[in-house]
Amino acid sequence: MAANEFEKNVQKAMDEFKLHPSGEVWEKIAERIGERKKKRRIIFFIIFSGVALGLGGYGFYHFKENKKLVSETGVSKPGGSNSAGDVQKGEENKTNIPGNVQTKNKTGANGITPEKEFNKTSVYKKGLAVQDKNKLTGKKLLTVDHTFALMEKQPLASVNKKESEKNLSTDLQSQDTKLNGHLNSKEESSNDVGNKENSVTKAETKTDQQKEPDSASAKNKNDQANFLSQDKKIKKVEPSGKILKWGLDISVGSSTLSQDRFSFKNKSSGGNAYLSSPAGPIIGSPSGFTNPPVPNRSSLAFKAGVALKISISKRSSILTGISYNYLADKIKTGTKQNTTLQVANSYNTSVYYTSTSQKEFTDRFHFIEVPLVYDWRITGNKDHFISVNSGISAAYLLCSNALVYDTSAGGIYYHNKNVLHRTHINFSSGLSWHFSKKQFECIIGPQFSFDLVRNINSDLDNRKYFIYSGLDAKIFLNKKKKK
Amino acid sequence: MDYNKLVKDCLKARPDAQRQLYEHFAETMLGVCYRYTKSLKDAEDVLQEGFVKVFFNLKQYRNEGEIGAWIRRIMVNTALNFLKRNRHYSNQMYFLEEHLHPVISDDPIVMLQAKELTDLIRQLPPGYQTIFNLHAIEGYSHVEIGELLGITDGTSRSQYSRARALLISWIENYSVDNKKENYGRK
Repeated sequence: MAANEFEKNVQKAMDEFKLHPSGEVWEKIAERIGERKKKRRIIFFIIFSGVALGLGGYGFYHFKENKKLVSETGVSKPGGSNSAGDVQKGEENKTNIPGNVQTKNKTGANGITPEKEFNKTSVYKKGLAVQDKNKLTGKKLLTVDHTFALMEKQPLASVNKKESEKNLSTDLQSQDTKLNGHLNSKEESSNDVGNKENSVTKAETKTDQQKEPDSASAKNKNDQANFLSQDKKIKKVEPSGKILKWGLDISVGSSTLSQDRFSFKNKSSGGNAYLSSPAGPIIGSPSGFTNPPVPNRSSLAFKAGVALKISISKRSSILTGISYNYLADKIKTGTKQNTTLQVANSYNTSVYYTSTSQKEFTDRFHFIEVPLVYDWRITGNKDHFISVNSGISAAYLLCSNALVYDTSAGGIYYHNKNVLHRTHINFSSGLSWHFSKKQFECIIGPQFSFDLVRNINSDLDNRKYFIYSGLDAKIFLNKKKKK
Repeated sequence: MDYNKLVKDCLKARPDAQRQLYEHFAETMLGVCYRYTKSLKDAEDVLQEGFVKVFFNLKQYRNEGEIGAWIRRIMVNTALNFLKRNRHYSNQMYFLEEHLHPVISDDPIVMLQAKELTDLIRQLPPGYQTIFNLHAIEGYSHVEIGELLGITDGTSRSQYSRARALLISWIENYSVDNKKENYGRK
């Protein structure tokens, strides 16, 4: 046989050679493709959730911190109502500085040289404004040092304290002298009146003169003490006003699959749709009659996970975290058949159940969920109060043993993961009772959640949207205060 | 069939397109895998592994050549990896024993002439079988085979010539036996 001829003949023969693979091969291939998709989705879901949680937490933490600073010091960022462009007129000792920024001009009083002050005022131009507060209104002053404290991330309370001590010592000195002068003149006038009325002796006048400055200085000292105590309050508020709290979240209840969104309607409606089979010839139903899907019932469900409470204000907070959700519903199926059958969308199933109510089957769904819930306190007491909450959550279906209805072979139930939606968005709402003890804070109350994404992507199966109702409990541990 | 559209749909991870691509090439590719293995089960394992690779790496296919040839190359490489990985094959890869190697009779429904030839190829020792498949059927050069299997091109050449001679003698014997059988029947 010629050298090339042999190879050519072999190649020709082999080109025609074909073998039909068994059905299992494609099933395994499809399964492996699905696994990869699932893994990729889980990774994306975890990354997305982590980033969202991180950004959300960071944002709320800073939002809260800035809000606190604004409320306590009157500092606002550029673009706010007290922006650098705004000019606030004080009553005294103020100088207009280029850039429409006003600052309190206390040259020498704070030990700030004009050069230093000019440099510092340039910081204001960058976006910080001073809101001058009148001592008479009891509000605190924001001076250049506050700004520098913010810029250099120094503890504000310590700067406040230092500055207030400085201010007060100089203010007290000047006020004492002023008051002495003022009181002396007052004394003189009152002495005049007293002389006129013959009710006050010179000795009494002297003691009054001594007492009045004393009371004035005492008042000033009280002011100083109040001022310092306000600073102490600032110190106290910051550690105790914890913004983020971690805890456990457990919820037990029941779940079912409904026909419509926000509806408890889960009864199947047998009708014309079940008289014909679009998926092919009906095997085992001689008259062409197809059993409609059996009504489903609710089943035990639970959620467990880690919760994070982000306090936004005195009354409101955001609850988030990550949890494992077990949701289920029950149906009654017929006998199990181990025969390969082609159903809708050319899907081959080797195991199916007839659609006759004989045995109870529980469709189990395992989800991982990231909720984002807004909680608002409606009653007054801080320690024991009731709140309403609502929010959304993103959930990912990890696995399920769910049976799906199909009109083939006179109505059957079969396993098909391809028609189950993996990613879900839920709307949740509830009422909670909050109570806090020294060591923990507890939130307990009823919770409802409705699925916004269809669960079973099949026109033949009416069970579409998940509904969950249950009792939800969250426990947040309080850290022990350092002595 | 519009392969470009099919590939695009597969890249969009559409299950129906993936199924269509598989069904179009599965039979031919199983024939390829079958030639490299000793049982249909092994061939199906290679086919499964190969198609998983096809779907995972489809974005690397740049419409430069025929999709069938690209899939075929993946199948051949998968089969070679399977042979290296599988002890049953790798131990006998270059065992030069010139007698029939038993194969599992799967009795698939195939075209008789091609099946007979395939069965004879499959009865070659694994080393001969692989090199014969790569050179005579897939058209790889001995240098390429050497690179693929980690042997010298000289070894590939010598093993191929032995495999070829062995196969020709078996084909001749098979034809004689068949003729005798046919005469006996007549």
